[in-house]
Amino acid sequence: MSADAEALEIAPEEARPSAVEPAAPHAEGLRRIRIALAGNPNCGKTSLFNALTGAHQHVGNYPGVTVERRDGSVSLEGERSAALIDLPGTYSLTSLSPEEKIAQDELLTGGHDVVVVVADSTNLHRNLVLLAQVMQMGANVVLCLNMADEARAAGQVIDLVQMERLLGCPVVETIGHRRKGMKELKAAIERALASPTNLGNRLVLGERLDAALALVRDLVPADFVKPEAKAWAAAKLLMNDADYVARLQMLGTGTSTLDRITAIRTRLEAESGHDAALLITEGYFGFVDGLLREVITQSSRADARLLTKKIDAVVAHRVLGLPIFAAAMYAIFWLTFTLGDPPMGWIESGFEALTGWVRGLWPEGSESMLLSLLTEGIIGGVGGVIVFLPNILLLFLGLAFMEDTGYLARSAFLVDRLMHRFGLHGKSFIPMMTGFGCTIPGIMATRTLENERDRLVTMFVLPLISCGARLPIWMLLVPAFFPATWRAPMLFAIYASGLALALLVAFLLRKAAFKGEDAPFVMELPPYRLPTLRGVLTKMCERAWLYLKKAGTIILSVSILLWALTAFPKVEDYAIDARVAAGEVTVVANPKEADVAEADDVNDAKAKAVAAAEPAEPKAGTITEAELEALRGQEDLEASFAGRIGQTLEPLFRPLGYDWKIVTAMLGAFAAKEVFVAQMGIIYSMGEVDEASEDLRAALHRDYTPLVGISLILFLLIGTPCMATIAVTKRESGRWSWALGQFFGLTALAYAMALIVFQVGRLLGF
Amino acid sequence: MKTLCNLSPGQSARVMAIQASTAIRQRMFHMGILPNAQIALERVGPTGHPLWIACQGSQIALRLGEAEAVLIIDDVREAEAEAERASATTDLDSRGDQR
Repeated sequence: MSADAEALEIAPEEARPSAVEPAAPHAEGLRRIRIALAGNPNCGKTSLFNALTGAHQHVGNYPGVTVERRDGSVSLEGERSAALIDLPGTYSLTSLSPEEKIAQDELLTGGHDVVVVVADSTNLHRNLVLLAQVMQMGANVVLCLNMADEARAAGQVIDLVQMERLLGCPVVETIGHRRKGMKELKAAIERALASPTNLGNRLVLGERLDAALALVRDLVPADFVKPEAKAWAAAKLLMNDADYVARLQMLGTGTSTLDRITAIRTRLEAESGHDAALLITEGYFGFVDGLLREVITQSSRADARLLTKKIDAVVAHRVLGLPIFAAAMYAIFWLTFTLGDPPMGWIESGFEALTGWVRGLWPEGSESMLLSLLTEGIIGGVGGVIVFLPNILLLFLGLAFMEDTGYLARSAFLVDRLMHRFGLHGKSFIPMMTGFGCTIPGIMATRTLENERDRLVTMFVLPLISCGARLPIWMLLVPAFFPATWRAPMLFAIYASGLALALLVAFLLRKAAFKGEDAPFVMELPPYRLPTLRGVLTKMCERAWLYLKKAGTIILSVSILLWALTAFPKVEDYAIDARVAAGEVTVVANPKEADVAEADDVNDAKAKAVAAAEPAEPKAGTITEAELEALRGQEDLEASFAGRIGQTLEPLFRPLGYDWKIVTAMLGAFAAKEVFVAQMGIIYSMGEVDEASEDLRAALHRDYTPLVGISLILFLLIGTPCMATIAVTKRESGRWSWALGQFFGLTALAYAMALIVFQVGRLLGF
Repeated sequence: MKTLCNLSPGQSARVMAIQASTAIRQRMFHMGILPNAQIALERVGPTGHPLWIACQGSQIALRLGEAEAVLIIDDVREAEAEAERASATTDLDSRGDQR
């Protein structure tokens, strides 16, 4: 780009003396160069960030908020590397949303040597308003016109040389998702580093407004903001921005200064007949209009969005839109669970093989605590989480595709009316649908929501949607308590009440916790774009990695804790062994499983054992070795901390109809919902059972009434989200308070619902 | 007073003012929904909401509440008024024309 170099020679001359210290901001060894990327949502900033940093990046959250933070490093000339931060995508830099506040704070106090403003070339009018604001902050700007290929295809031609001359900063064209123009962008960054500029003085907002701003500027105290950003602070104070006014008030001379600023504002508004905030925004737009009139030598054709319009005429159609969306969702879920099934099986057998291998390290039949910790605690706990990875990968692949094409925004448009009635957002719909598969990816999918409050409310209610891991519980409990004809309606009722409660709780949260707060729904519908494979895969892997890493650490520790609770303390002398020794019970060898003829007898024997296990000790008789093991396991659990906690908490859960066995099993359900089934199996001394175990169902049917069944189903549906949910909610919301509020709030709701149902049901004589 | 809700799909108008809280006003301003800007209703959601509008090169979805806050005047009448004023262009008109 020799033309650019030529323009550059003019530019520094025209730029007024910079307020930025010109003394080598990138002096080797002194401090690392810092670069920030700023831009509108949907301007391709993140793909540009990925193209610049490659694998050298870190994705996390800003402390205490749901806003994503991306840090990376980019290599510059001469083996130097610079820290690159991807600011949240924002349309402006007000203080009205967490994203905008963060972007503004970063730009004002982040100490960035260069700020790259990324603009969508196909919508420069709106995108460059952000440039005007960044200019006002006195940043050392590089303007990056992204998606240049689309603009060019639409027929738009921009005179870059003229643009550089008028703005006084480097301007480059890029195609972020195809990784084109990166060399030019880096060169532009080098140029900005070599000769920093402050473009604040190039921003012309109109005579009257500029005069008023100049007056306010002189009133801004010296240490109120960094010297380059005084014009910015002046604009904020003039438009009566609550944050800036409050900060000024805290200073000693603040009140008298404020009075003078108010006088300036009053005069300006009286003279122009508009409020200052509107005048300033109009000023930005006017500046951009003026600039674009000078640099766009050929406008894009009127039919540039024709293809997008044609697609929208079908997929966003008033009548056809919803059925098409339903079909698309169905396709994604079908693919997720169909294609995810085989790898899930491989992971399961992989963990089984690993367990077997670990077990093989110890001599057969030995009882080692370490072995138990490794196999039951660590491998069991972590394996139970990793097994969902194929589903999560596939679901996020589908979601990333929907997001990157622009279809997600259309689907939100279609369902927003429905969701808004419950205080949710159109984009809450997909996370909630995802929640039927698994709550974890559902919570992670709330990232597609732009608004902090929408994200928080959606993730709070997500555990109410009955996830896949709860299906085994329903498969065990529903047939245990209800006759065959009632089973399908019951299952439907469970799922429906979960969804209804989720919407209800969202509604109440909006009414109570976020009362009176505005949540403007002004959602952009970007043009359709063909996503790149790399873009979609990157997004998918990022989320999968977050799931594995962050949730994994917490899940690992809680798995170990829960294992310890069920494994300790050990029973020294089993009562059943004493009875065997006393000759009251005879142990016989395990029957051969292949022996079909004996099968019925075995079941009878088992049923007998079940009947014998509770409530009294086993009567004299014969039991198999397997049953002996199971009975020992039952004694272990009863004596373990988990068992004791269950017994201690029993009075608390009595009014719900539960005994200590159910409470103990629910402790296990905290690790992962489906563990409830296994825990019940151990308590009923049936060894390893699954949800299809008829023996366990028979035992449940014997010990509890259907009313207890309903109370239990309600509690498991509503309460105690699993630990992975807690961990991911903490991660995604950025605060423990929200995760713990979710846990205790939902558990309290579950308790109340189960209590009401059980007590009312009992009064009615069920 | 006419608002965006009075438009039928396919119709366009000119924004006169936005009567809403600072947060909503600011958000709309920065999305390009400014007084004098041309605004068109492209389509509506399945139950008649939300509204899908086109304004200054952006496609934006607005809920009923936000759409009601956008006061509009007929583009046609505006054009007539402009014709009456003939060549005497005010600052207001020329700004509108640029968009």
